[in-house]
Amino acid sequence: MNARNRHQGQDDDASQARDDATHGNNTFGEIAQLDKLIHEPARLALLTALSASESADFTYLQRVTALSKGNLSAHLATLEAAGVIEVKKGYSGRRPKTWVRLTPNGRTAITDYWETMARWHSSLARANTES
Amino acid sequence: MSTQKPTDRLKDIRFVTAHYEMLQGYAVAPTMLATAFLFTTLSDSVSWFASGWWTVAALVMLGLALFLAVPIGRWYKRTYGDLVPHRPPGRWSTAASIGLLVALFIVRLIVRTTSSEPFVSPEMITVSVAAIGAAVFLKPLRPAFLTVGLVALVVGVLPLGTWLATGTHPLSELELLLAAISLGMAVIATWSHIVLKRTLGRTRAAA
Repeated sequence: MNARNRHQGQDDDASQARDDATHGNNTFGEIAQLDKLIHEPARLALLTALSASESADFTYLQRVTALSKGNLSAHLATLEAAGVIEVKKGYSGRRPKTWVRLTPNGRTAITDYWETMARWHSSLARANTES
Repeated sequence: MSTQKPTDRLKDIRFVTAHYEMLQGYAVAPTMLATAFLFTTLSDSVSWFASGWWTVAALVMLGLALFLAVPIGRWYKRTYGDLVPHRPPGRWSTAASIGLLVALFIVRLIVRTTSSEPFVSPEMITVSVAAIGAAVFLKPLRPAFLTVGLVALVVGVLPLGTWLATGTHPLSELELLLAAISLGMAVIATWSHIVLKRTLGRTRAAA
């Protein structure tokens, strides 16, 4: 299964959970709505850094995530295949340099993610206050 | 073992990414130290540096520090990577610096229009209020801003003018005030580097 199909499958799961949440109005539905592609810790760190800048190079993202080059490349490939980021390869002098930026869809996805997390957090806080 | 919460780690990543150039402290700290030294040599109150050669030496140091800032900036890019910020860097820090200068000008104007010479340094107290205010907004840099703000407050309220029999508080003199501000900025720049290193300097094993 390639990355695009995997993300398609995740979209279907998220869509199903979104329907459940709409009809059932439960917190578990809200949690399941979270985009699994973004929720993975290393990818969340990557997207958080990219959302706070226009673009960042490979070295910076490796520092942020503390991943090996191979692992970081794999995560970037997954995000690029899902249309969340754009990867541009070029040169800085004679040295090869890879620049990464969020696509408009990626920026919307990470904003939605944080909004869902904030909503979930406030509903949990409300539930704790009521109990 | 790291005890940092994942949400705090993400907040640090967001802060460091948004203020990456501002946090490259080792590029700024030598310039600030040389500036502090230069203003000290220009002061009339400090007799140790009365000779003009001290000012020349301070200018050479300042030139060297500015020259060194370029390779240090390149070292940061090579070590921690490079990024394109959302907005041109330093907009907030420029606005804050202008605000501080305006506040200092107003305080000096008020002090000059009053007849009595204050024992404390109202200018240094203004600087301490600004530093403590910055500590509220810039959480990762809070320890440095708080330290600088509290030290400035203590030094500002001590009646140094009476103790040293100079009448005026030494830090109300413009050159020494600017030297003290530069020294404070050198401390904050050094702490900025520590924040950058702590957020981006993790090894794979520690991750």
